[in-house]
Amino acid sequence: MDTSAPSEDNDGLIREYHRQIAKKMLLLIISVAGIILTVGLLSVSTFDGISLSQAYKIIWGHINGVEYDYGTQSRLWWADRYIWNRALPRATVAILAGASLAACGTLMQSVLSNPLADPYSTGISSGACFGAVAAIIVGISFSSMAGEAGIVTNAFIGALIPAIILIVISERINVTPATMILIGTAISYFFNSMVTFMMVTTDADTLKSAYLWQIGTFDGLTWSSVPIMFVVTVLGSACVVWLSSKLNVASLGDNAAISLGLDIKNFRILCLILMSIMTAAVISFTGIIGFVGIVAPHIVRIVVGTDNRFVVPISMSVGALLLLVADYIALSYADLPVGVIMALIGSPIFFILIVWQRKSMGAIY
Amino acid sequence: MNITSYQKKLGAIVIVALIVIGAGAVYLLAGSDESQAEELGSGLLIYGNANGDLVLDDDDINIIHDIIDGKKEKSDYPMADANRDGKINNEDIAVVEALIAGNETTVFVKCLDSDGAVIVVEVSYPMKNVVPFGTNIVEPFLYVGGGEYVAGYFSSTYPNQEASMTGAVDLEGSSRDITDKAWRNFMNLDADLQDEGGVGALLIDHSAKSFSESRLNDLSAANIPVIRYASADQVQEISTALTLGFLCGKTTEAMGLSYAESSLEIYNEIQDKVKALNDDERKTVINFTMWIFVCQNDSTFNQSPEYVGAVPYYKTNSAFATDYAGNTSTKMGGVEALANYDDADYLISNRSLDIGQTDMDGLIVEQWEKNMQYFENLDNYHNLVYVNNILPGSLRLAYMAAAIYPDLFTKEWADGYLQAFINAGYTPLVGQTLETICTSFGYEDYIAAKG
Amino acid sequence: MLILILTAVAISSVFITLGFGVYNISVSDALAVFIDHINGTVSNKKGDYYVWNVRLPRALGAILVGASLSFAGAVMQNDMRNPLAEPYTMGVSSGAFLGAVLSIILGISIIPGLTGDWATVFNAFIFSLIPASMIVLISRFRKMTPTAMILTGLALMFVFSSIGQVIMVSAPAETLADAYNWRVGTLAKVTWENLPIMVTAVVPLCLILYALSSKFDVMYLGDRAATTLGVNANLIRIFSIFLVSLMTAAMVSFTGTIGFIGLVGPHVARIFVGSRNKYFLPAAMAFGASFLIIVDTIAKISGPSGLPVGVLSAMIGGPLFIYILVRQKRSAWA
Repeated sequence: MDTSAPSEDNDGLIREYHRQIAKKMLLLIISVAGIILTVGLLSVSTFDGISLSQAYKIIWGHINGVEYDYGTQSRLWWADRYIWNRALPRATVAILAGASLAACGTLMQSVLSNPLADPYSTGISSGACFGAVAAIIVGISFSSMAGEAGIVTNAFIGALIPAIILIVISERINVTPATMILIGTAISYFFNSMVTFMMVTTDADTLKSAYLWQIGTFDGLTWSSVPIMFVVTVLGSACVVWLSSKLNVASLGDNAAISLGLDIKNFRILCLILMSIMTAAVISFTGIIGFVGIVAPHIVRIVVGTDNRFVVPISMSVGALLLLVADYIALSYADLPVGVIMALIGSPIFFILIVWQRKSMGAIY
Repeated sequence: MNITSYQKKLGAIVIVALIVIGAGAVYLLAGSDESQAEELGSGLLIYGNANGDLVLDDDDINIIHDIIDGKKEKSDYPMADANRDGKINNEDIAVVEALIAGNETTVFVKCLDSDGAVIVVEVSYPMKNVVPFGTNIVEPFLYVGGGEYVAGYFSSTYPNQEASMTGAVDLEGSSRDITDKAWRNFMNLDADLQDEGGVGALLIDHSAKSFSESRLNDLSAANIPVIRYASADQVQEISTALTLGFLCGKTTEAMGLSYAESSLEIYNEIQDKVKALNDDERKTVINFTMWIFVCQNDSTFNQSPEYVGAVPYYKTNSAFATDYAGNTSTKMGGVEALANYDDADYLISNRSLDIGQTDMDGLIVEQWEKNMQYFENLDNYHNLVYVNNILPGSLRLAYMAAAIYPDLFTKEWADGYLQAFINAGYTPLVGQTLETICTSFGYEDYIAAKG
Repeated sequence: MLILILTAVAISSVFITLGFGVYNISVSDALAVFIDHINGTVSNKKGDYYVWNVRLPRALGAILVGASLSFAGAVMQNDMRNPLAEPYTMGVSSGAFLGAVLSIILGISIIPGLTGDWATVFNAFIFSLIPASMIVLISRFRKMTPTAMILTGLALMFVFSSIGQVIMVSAPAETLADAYNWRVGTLAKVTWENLPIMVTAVVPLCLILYALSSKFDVMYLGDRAATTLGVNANLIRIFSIFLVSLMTAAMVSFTGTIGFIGLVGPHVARIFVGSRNKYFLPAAMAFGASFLIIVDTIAKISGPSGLPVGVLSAMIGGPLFIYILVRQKRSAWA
């Protein structure tokens, strides 16, 4: 808060400052409360015949080891199983994925000095797609654990390939934000063509599975998907928050950053690695969920300004909330994958952001 | 930076690309590890059916008696242990007698697990409140009158065919995928049926793969049996219909038996006649699904030519076998795709078309012309035959046989069997005539339909 | 000079490619069949079908599509003064895809009475023009820089493809596969039936745009410079964008999205002939034509029934693109 603190004792400035802080806190509180409420809705209102209070009782009961008798209390037995094994892991993943993707989006936008960058700008998504589609189309079944684990590990490895290529290239040439995006585009071209190649040579059902994976869905997630994502997201986000004041410097552009003593080139590589691992840990379980990483930080910046020390944590909670809401809609109203809902919500927001944006859009666009 | 370092960089990129391509290729090559299902046999797959025939009757009781008396070896009759307690004794006889009388009891069913291995599951007899998943298992179940025992379904694809499931709950899945929402609906259905003992069983078609481990865990926690058969195969379909019919009680048991007997009659008649064919008289067949998806070598569809005395084309042409290795199907990339393979005798296109058609000529013309450009310049274009994949398996074989060996079988002969099936009252066919069911059609039929 | 060489390559490729494909026939036999057909003395009926009815329109289609996409990309990069601009930048492909999905999955035809493939083609054509029309419309009310136009095109592309996705995911596997395959760019769908339509749509538009090439040279200097020199940059930009979209739409509706050629064709041409549009535009065309026909020839013989050309061109193109980027670093675009 040092930079924005008033340097002289001026009532107006202090009031303005307090107003800013209040706005930031309000947004944070709204999104955190929203998260809790939506988690409630997710686990509660989606199971027929189970009321809100009953659902909380079930959660509490589960923690205290209450068991229900299948056959006489079938509904409670299923509700307990559903809430505990499906709704809660789903909600947890939504929160982790939303937070992680939003943090990565903020990171990329600052590092590339491009407000339209997102976690997928360097081709991560296409690499992950390639890995997952290779696993799905060679016929590994969704029904066995080996199959699911195969898709996840494939996607994870695939997601890291673009970063590796970028790092290899960056040792040879000076990688500017512009070349990073361009090389990302080229990598995407290549991987997407491989994906298309596999897709057009397979049968219709496998094609559909692979297509649905690409869109991003929380269907079928269980607690077993959570631990890796949780650890990576928590550690990664902590790093992003810790780096946020440096991000402020980086987003001023290369020259300014260097004059302020930041080794921008290495910093950029560090951020790239961090972001790749965080994103890979999420999308290898969920598929490519778009727009969270770009829309959440933008909404936050409109309200709280551009200081990354606030933008990062608030974006994370807004991102989590966005995905939770999208998932709630996906689960209760439209039987669609969450990625589609997110695209339907995100693309118009993106459109509006673009049409009303006055600032120039950075080096490439 | 000089050119050399650029070239090095390019080299690095190319290497990474090659690794990626290589990895992809290894994946593609290492693909088909699908284990083929162990032979289930074509009889009634119920423990207690000691002699492995189509029915549970006094013969089975006599065998069990003989084993108890030491006249027969236990190891020769693995299905004799009706209650699966490891011992053959009077309790087994009691179970078989209860089943013959149609009394409530517990029954053990031989079926497949998700890897295609043979397993045994425990089901309450008589079975009711069933939830089927996958067209290939829904159909035989409906043919034996299982429709009224369906409590819910994940998708309904053929409205007329599946009309008898109308009392059931739509769980809002799709034909291949079960979403969390559909699964929650299933949980609710089971809870609703609490007083009737919950969902009686989940029937799964082995080719429908999207049943995850966690969902199977839910089922086993709730003690809901999962009966899985590879019923896309015309011979396995017979035992599927027989066994599922048996499980739902006496009425469907009788239907299942007559369905199985009629099916076997057709199957055996075909075998009898094609037995005499010399190897050089056997025709070669390329199978298709969805008009222009070529069935790969190990796909289930390539089993059916063997059942009618023909040969899947891949066995006679190694170039084709190389191009179409795998166990699924792959789309024709253009009108030239089969240009080198039009010496195959027959092109069999497996299409699923609902029963209860009103405009047969229109249907034939529409289906035929939809992707005609892929076939019309092949030498064997006139031997392209569409066979309706929704028919009972044995009738599919009959129409296929009639198309491939017109000297041995005729379409009228197959129609006769279809009429017999209609007359026998297998539920979806009730009220249908030969004019409302699309069976098979070839070039001549197309020309005639076009008028 | 380069233009002449490339043109010669393209034309000779048309004849050579007649001998390539799944159906086994040598290049010389294929040429014999070709000459037989012209003389009206068809002897090899099957060969005649594959050479004359399948491969020849496909080869001519490759020339036409390659040349015009590369040309369209060149015009767009000029207009937008942006190295990443391409024919699909205005959202043409996503619009076309939505139109096609409507027809393939939901059976909705914009032109009443049409069914089947032609409904898909017309739907795709009409929908592919919507994003460009919206951009033209918006630019009447708000002054738009080239960057703003690209971004609006990008955003519209997202909107259109998200709607397309909704329809896709709720479709059964069979129709989903149809729709997916439609989008993958392939020249296999070019026949004598639709080739004339493509030619009549593309050639006049190319000529009009080429007539503007001197104006493009001026615009390349920047909007202000252009205004000083008496060229209304904004008007010409809007006009040419619309023509490019029209041209691209005419092709996408028949072939699906053949990516990459419109992006890289101009870059390669620029390396050799520089930026003067009088030479640059024809060079881009010639390169695009010969590149696409060669790639399509490779595509035809790769895999049991041939790969879609879009897949192969992107596979070759991705690495090539990186190489070009690195080499072009100090050029006008960096």
